[in-house]
Amino acid sequence: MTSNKRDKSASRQYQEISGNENESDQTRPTTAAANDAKSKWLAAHNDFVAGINTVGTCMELVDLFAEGSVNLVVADFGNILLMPKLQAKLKVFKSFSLLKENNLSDLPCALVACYTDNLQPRIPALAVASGSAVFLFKSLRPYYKFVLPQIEIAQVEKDVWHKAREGNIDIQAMHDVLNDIHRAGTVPLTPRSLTFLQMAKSNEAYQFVEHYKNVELKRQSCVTCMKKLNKNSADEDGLNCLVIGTEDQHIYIVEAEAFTILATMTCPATPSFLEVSGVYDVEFRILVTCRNGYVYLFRRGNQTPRNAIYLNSIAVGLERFGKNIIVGCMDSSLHCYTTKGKRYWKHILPAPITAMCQIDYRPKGFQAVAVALANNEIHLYKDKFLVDVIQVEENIYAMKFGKLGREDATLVMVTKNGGLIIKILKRTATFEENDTLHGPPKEQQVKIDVPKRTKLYVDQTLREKEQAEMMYRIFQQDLIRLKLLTGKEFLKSVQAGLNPVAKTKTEAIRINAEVHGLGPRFKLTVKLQNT
Amino acid sequence: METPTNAVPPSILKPSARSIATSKWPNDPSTIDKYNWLLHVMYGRGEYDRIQQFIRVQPQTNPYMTYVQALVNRQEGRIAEALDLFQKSVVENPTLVNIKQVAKSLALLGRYRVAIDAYKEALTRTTNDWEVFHNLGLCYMQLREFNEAKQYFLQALQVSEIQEASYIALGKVLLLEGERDEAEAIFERGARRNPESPTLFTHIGLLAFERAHYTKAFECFGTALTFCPTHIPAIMAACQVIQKHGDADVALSKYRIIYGRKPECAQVWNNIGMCFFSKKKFVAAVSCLKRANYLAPFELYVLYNLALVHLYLQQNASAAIFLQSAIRINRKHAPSYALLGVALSKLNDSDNAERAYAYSLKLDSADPMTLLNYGIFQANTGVSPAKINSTMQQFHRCYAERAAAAANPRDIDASMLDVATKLGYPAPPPAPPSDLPTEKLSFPSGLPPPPAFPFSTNSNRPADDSASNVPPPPPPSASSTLSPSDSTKDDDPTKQSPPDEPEVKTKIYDANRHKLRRMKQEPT
Repeated sequence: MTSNKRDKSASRQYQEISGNENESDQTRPTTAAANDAKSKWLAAHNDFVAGINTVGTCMELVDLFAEGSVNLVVADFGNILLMPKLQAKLKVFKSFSLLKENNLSDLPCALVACYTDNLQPRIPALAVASGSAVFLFKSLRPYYKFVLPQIEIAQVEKDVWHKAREGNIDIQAMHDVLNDIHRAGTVPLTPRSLTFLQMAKSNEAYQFVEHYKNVELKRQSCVTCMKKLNKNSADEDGLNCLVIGTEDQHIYIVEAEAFTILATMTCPATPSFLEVSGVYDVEFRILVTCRNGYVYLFRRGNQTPRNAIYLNSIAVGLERFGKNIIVGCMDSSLHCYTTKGKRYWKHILPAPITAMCQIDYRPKGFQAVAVALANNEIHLYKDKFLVDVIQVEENIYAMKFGKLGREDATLVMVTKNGGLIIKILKRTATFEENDTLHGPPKEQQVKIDVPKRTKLYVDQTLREKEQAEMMYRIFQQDLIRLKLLTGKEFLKSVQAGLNPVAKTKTEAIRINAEVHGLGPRFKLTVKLQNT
Repeated sequence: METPTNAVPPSILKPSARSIATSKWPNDPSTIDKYNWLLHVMYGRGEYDRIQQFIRVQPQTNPYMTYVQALVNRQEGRIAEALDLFQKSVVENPTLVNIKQVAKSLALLGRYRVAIDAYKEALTRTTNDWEVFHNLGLCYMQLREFNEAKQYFLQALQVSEIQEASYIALGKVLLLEGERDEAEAIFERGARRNPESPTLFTHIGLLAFERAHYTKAFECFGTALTFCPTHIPAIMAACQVIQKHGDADVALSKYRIIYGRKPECAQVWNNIGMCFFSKKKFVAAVSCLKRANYLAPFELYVLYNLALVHLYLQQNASAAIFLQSAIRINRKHAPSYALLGVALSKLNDSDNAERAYAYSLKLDSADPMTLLNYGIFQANTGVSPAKINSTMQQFHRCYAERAAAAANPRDIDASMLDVATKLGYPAPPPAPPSDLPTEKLSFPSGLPPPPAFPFSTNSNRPADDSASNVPPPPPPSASSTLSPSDSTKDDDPTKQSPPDEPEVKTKIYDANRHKLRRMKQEPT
């Protein structure tokens, strides 16, 4: 345990160091757009040392205690680079300040606030997906752990490891058998066997087998994304199911009350983002972006996707508005498709996308998608129009729009360096439905910097006007003289054996000179070779 | 520290109590894929450094980590390392994705033959992957095997009809083969599928430009600029049209956009210089052209334009030197010789001027402007009237041909006829504008608009990079220039005719028609 403690203090120190760095960040002049009167957003809270490290899917805005005030819940990664000693935490904020935090056993990958019962008052539970399990927290206490179903393992593989446990198979034979199964490719191997196959040295492989032979052979998938789906009513506080995408290319729909798997769907590739709509008992649609650059649409009752949309790049965000799908891609493009797969529009954004979120401000009927870019801007697109640009101080890595506290319209942002920024949409803000970038681009205002001419130049021009003929004659004469001189020198150098590729009969040495560039600066490379 | 090897984390409440394995292997190897989603998210966001650090602290690697590491290497330009890792992935697991990545890396390294083999291997695993077909087409295009390239692009378009890139690539292949009609058809098909693609519209516009369909070309460039107001090839092309009918101010304001984005583009500096020239800001024009020349010393048209401006400024010696440089770059450029003739005659080197004119006419005997200047030169040097007469008759013939060929009656400069009349060789009766008043010539006041020509050079570059998409500079106006003092001598053309006239070969547009169109196009 002592070593453990030391590790902890070390990591605390690390945090302090990084905290100091962040503080120096904070001292930067922050002339945010929020300060000027034209901005539609009020800067409510800026904390650049909040130390939150997360993704958009690990943030929720939810009324956790049914008291009419919405809390911000964040599943925080801690520092992912301190890998074995993760400090992943479930943090609950109440009006900008940390209310409570819970430790998490592993890196969270998705956080969903869902209703698991019909009790009054409606208090949601928090489902945190990490690794191959979903942990359910009720009233911020661990309540249940749901583990993904195990995947079938080839019988031969089981036999091999069984023999290994009994000690009547040698490493080479194991390797051969497992390799055969792997090449045949009918049933995928367990990660353990795959690691074993990668081992080059038999000594290492032997240790590996010794280490693992008594551990039960398992093939278990991991959660890659999770969303919620209403079970039997479209109410906002209705009973929920969880929709879970897994590494082994499945999508499970799990009932949140008793954690039974209601439906399983097969995806052609590993899902990365989910978007769910509808009610499970009636009709629902699941949109999935996959690692192979496709978006698939699943509907109730189908194991396989109904439609597929090919994106030219990897998706970094997926939002849905009615029948429109908005996908942000890694090649800094934003696409809008219908659910049938027809493309409505495509924008090329000025910088790569780092985060996306949906903005749905019911009181004003305002729906848009916010796209955070690597140039520290957040672009708001309503349909195909860019309606607003928010300037922020850092790259935004996670965003969520919704109610917070008693405010109706807040945008919560987590920055690259762990800062927390909260902005409130002004009540007076109206978004015009045309492009704010309409009109000439801003470069058009830049003045062209025409190189200046000196007085000497002007004098020379005047002289040339008067004595052009003489100047030209002199120039021609000099040019010819120069050419003559060059020719003579060249001849001399050839005769003296100094030409670029010089060879002498007596010595076995070659010199090769090359000039790169035209001058006034140029590079001269001389190669001296002993042949 | 002892480690009980339990497979499940002991508690979700006390992660610190989790056992730490003494060995380098984790307790539960069944979940080595559990951070793949995070790698994927980080890769999508472009956090390449963080991915590498993250992979480094992992006790164990899995195939996906190798894959992401390879992708990161490739994104950061270490293609050979990426290829190694992808090949390793293929050996472990020969899936379609891995094979495609190997093929792509090979293509990026320029090993197209091997890349083609890899893609064909990928084709045995799929039949409807747009990316495979398209990239196969690109590989064949690089190898200049255009039939295969076309075939694969067509297959790619069968798989996915909306892919802009395939239309553009197929169009380029067709252009390389000289199939302009088919290329245009492909571009237009693509534009129907991608109604907001600035690149496709710029290509259509350029093709229209080459056929002198200026109205259509300008509309296409306008469309391209509506959807992407900073699309540089479209701005360049549209400005050619604007400049062509003499609206230098509008063109200049548009060139500012390119100047802001690509301040080291010689072509833009050339065009800016010619804008200043037509605005009569000669010092600025010379400055800009010299900058263009500095940035691209081997660009023929920059040198030609410099000579033109210097000739106008009566800096004949400089003009002659620039023309000599131009000729050194392209020995078959007839307008340069013609202009050199003008410059040399002003420098009283009539022997060489004569030779320059003769050579220019040998290269292009149908240029009315060269003929006219030659005629004037002959008149000035006292050649027998019979010779001058034959030159001028040829001039009138060529002029009439040009005038007949020009779609727009104002595409050809009628002031040439005035000059010819002053010289004492009026046009034969059928030529319509021959009976123009001969009082005062208007040419010294109205400068020829710096021109814009269809650019043929950019079609033979298969490159994809944006830099090469910048259209080449406009071939400058073949106008020679008239010194203001010459107009005073016009009264006596036979004795001392205007030595060298401002002849305008460039077409002048109906200004009103264009203004209307421009109004439409200009964003307000």
